[in-house]
Amino acid sequence: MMKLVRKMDTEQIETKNKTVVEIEKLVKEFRIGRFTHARVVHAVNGIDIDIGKKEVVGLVGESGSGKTTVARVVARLYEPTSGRIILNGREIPKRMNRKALLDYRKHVQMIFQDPFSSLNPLHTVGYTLERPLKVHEIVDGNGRKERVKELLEICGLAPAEKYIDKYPYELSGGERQRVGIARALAVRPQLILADEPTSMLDVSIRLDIMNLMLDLKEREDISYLFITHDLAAAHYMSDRIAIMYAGHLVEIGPADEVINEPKHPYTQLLRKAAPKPESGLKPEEIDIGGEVPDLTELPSGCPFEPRCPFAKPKCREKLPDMVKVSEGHFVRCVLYSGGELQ
Amino acid sequence: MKTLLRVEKFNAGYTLKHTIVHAVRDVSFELKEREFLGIAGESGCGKSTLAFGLTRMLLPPGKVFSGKVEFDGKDLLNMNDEELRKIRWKDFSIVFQASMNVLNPVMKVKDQILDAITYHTSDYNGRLEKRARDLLALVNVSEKYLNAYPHQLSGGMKQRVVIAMALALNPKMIIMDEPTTALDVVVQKKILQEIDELRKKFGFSIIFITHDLSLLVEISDTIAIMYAGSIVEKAPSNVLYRHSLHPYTYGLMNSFPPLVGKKKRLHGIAGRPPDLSHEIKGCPFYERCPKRIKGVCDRVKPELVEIEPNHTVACHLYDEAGEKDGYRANRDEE
Repeated sequence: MMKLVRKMDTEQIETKNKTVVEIEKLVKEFRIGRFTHARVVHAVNGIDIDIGKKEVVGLVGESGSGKTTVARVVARLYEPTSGRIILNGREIPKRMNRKALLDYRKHVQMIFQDPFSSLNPLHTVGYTLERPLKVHEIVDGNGRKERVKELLEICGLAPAEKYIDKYPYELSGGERQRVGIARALAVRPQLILADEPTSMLDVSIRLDIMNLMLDLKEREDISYLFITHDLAAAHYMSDRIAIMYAGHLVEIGPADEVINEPKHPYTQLLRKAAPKPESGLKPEEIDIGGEVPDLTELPSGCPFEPRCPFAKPKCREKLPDMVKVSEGHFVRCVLYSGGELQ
Repeated sequence: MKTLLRVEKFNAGYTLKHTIVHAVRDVSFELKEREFLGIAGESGCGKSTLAFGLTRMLLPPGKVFSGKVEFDGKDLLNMNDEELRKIRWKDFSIVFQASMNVLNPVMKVKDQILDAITYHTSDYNGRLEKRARDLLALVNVSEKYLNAYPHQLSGGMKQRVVIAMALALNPKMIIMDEPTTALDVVVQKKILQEIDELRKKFGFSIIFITHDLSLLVEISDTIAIMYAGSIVEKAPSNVLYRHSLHPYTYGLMNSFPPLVGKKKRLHGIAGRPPDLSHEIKGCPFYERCPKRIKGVCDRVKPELVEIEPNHTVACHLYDEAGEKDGYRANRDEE
């Protein structure tokens, strides 16, 4: 009896707001150079993000902020230097053998930025989509062809017969990215890491790809980590937005709040810099210069301090803590250390 | 204001072994002094071919087929090489796409900036070093980079150096082909701001080519929208933003999710542009157009007509052919 009750409890929690993946204090360092030139690139410096079921978390940052590295570590294309990745309540070991990796990737898949280089030019679309089904032993024999057709049609490549025997060079950029999405979808993953999936595409078809991803989320119960440098795209796609700067998370919160009332000075800068003709045609002026700090010699305090218009001496002392400013909205800035602007 | 550049019925493209790609089709427009003209369109709409073609920078297999380009009273297309060499970079200059790769990796920044100056004029003899320093100061690059090599500069700094090179001889017109697409948003914004300040200071005209319409709306005076090699709509940017007429412009405008305001589902433009190696009968946008008129749009190519002063559009919804068909009446019924 006890067992039954407990099972019902967990089921209820699961259907409510289940966390699919938790990323805790994730650190990734790269060693470059040799001997006297040896240096360490601190690409990701302790990131905490959790992603719920059917949730889209937008990860926004400039190039070199470490956003792609986060995705690649979570996809286990890189091994983390330290930190934990917890999938469905189970911690993923730091070192994994091939079988464990295969099993992990049944749950976590990735969509890449460049659809022109992420598909093997020597294989047909059908072959590319059949591979994950075969490798992960999901469907066998005749069922496979059917599933490939189904995948193509879900991803808007209908009729499937028209595409199944084509090679990547015969497809447009948008169609290729759809194949990339179908490939990620093949194993019915819970989490898809989408690394700038629209930045290489033509403007008129970017929205279609984003809409497709949103539709698939509803249809297949998928969660996304949506990586982009485009604040507007992140707003369109995401439930929550996380802002990264120099390997640190500087702000995370509900998408509308982060966009409309950005708290961190860096988020405010990003918002000012983004074109937004809808709010009057006069562009906002920005007066912050400087560039992202060198990732081999990070400042000891707040990484944004050298460029920050509100910088204070204490910003240089130590990395500010994440402070809660409202429900689910956190900022890493001393301005808010009491929860309110000081 | 005086017209600086007049382009008439300009046709250009690429002659390949078996096909001729007709990338720019009958493009006509004018650029006034001090004007900031933005040209927007998807990749493959011919916007870069247009820019290279009218400045005679198009290399084989690219070719200008026909047309007339009048720049500052001179006929650019029929100039001989020597005449062209004299005015190129002096009267007009170009900032290329992916400027990071434009700089010579084994030449110092200073020498690259001075290269064009020493070729064209002896005005700065004896003051060359100072001129290079002044130019770098204009684009906010510290003079300590004068003797640096390109690999020592960040992407934004390289882009600034390339802009400094374009400014070197105080040109009357600068063509910028996607100058900021490879840069981060903050750097992009900063450089655009600087470009605008420089334009106000020196009074040159700019043709700014990009696919990012939301950016153009904020920075340019006039916007021309290109599709499949032709200009389909041209208007002052605030007019274009508020009252775009062509269905393509409207679709393109809606392809950028707004940053502020309520979230709502938007839709891109279905389909893809026509193959430019074939002749297009009728309107090039016909296949993708949500408002097409069967029997009219697929037969007759719409011409650019002026709907209001300075607002031209090439669409049968706004010309006589569409009128005759009684389309407007139909549209009201919907």
